[in-house]
Amino acid sequence: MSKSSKYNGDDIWKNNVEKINSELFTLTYGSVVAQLCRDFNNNYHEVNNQLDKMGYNIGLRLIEEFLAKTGVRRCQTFRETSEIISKIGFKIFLNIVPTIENWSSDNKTCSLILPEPNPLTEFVELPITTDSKISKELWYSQILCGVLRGALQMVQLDVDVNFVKDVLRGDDRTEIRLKLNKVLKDEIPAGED
Amino acid sequence: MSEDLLDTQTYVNSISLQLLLQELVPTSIRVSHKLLDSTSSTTSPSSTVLFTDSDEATTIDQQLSSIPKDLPGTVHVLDSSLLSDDEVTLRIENYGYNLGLKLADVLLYKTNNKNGNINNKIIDILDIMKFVCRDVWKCLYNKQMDNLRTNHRGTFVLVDNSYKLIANLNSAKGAHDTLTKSKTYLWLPCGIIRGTLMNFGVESTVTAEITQFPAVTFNIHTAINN
Amino acid sequence: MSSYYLTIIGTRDNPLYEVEFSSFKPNSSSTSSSASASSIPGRAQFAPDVREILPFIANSSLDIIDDSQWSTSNFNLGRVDSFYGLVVNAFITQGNVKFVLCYDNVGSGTNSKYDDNLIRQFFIDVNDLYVKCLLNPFYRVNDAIVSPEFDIKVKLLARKYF
Repeated sequence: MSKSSKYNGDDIWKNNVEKINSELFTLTYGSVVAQLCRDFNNNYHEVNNQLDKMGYNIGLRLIEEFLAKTGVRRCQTFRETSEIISKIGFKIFLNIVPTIENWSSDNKTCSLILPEPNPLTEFVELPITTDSKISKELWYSQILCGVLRGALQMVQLDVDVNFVKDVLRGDDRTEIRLKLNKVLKDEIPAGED
Repeated sequence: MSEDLLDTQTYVNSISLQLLLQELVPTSIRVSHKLLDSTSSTTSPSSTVLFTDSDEATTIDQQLSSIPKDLPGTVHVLDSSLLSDDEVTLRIENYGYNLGLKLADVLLYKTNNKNGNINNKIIDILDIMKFVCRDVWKCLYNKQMDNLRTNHRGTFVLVDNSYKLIANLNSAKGAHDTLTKSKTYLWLPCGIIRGTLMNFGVESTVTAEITQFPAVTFNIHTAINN
Repeated sequence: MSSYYLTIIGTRDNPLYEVEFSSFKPNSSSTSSSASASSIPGRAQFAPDVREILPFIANSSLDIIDDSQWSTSNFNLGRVDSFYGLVVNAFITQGNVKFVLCYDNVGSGTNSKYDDNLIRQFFIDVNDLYVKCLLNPFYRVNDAIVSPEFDIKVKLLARKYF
């Protein structure tokens, strides 16, 4: 991608980011998920939804930090957007670079494959239960979907974001599906065009 | 050991943690609302609709809770009457406590490994407090506590001259409102401190006050005579 | 061949995990072929009456271990007790969770220094596993450790050191 290569996620990560031990982040996020599971008495749909809301609100604020740090300008194609999300967004916030694959023929749907281990799920083991309800219903890292949906909303992209696979559930990989619904053209913020 | 994940230090952006920590207060309020709504209506026949059985994707115009005007990107959730209710503050304190309970073991393991030295278990209460002021604060907020005092009878006072999670809060309703809302955010660090001390085997009560915004004083009472 | 009993004890003196094993290394003073054939490598060979009281032996050393919680800055407490030919070594984590190892002293009487050092290394590696266990958000301090992965890794360590 010639377009995205002018922004360098590695450089920003190395030189322009205040860093903390990832275990702290793992522990904090984990204690939130675990407590939500207790609060909602193992209704994992409620847990997923609450994590999604949290993420969405974070995404709305995170995008400002992202734009300020990177100077990324409006993308021309959704392919370009996805490259930016993976190589710059994930890189500078979580220090991981998911791979992008599985493009649909209309270039509006693709998958982000999270590397293992990643700072959200490292050391996490879902509790072993007889009904295995948790591994069928809980999307442990659902907050990421909220973050992506919220952040993209702020740059006028209406995108469906959801998990389709998770290694924690026993799947072969952790996969987030992105689907571009529409580009909101009406409200282009100042300085964006 | 063949596979030593803890030895290879990995990092994330500190902003990722700050954003997450900041969402804990609104989330606690929403969870409390949801749980109270469901208990208050258990007698009504419609109680079953309160807990969903499907996953929903948050959207920009979606009400996030039953709190009026609680829309994404707004702060109306903080106007909830539950803001300083025990239901909410205990929940926030608990997030911190559970985190603190594991912090000492994990952090000390890491520092010991880094120094190649495994012979310094912290046992002195003053050293434990210094650990909170230096190591815990440093890894959570990238700064140390600014002051540590003790009366040598089990009471400790820790001062952070600019507590990171409230420093950027600024209510449109003025300074008084900012203070009121900031107080709820302080239950998180109180829980973290109480949990960390518990990890060392020290029982305590921890309270916080905003002395001069955004300076925060943490008062810690233990039964240890130091 | 020595037999070993490892137990992890929580901050409220509650047991979190226990395992028995024996040394995997063949004994230098060759035992009679019939005896070694009946023994499965790694299986502990405590006499039945000893086996029954192992948790009690471990527990009875807790007072000594607890005393050192506030008095020594060592994680490894070394040899803390002995009981009818069984030796008790202990380790205490920063969070005051205790690892207690009881073992019979067969065939290693002359090498106690060497044994203590091995045990110390073993404890340090078990602590490694324990910290990883703590990092799992669904594990709470003082919960029993039921993760099969933890169990396997402890047994691998046992094979490595004993």
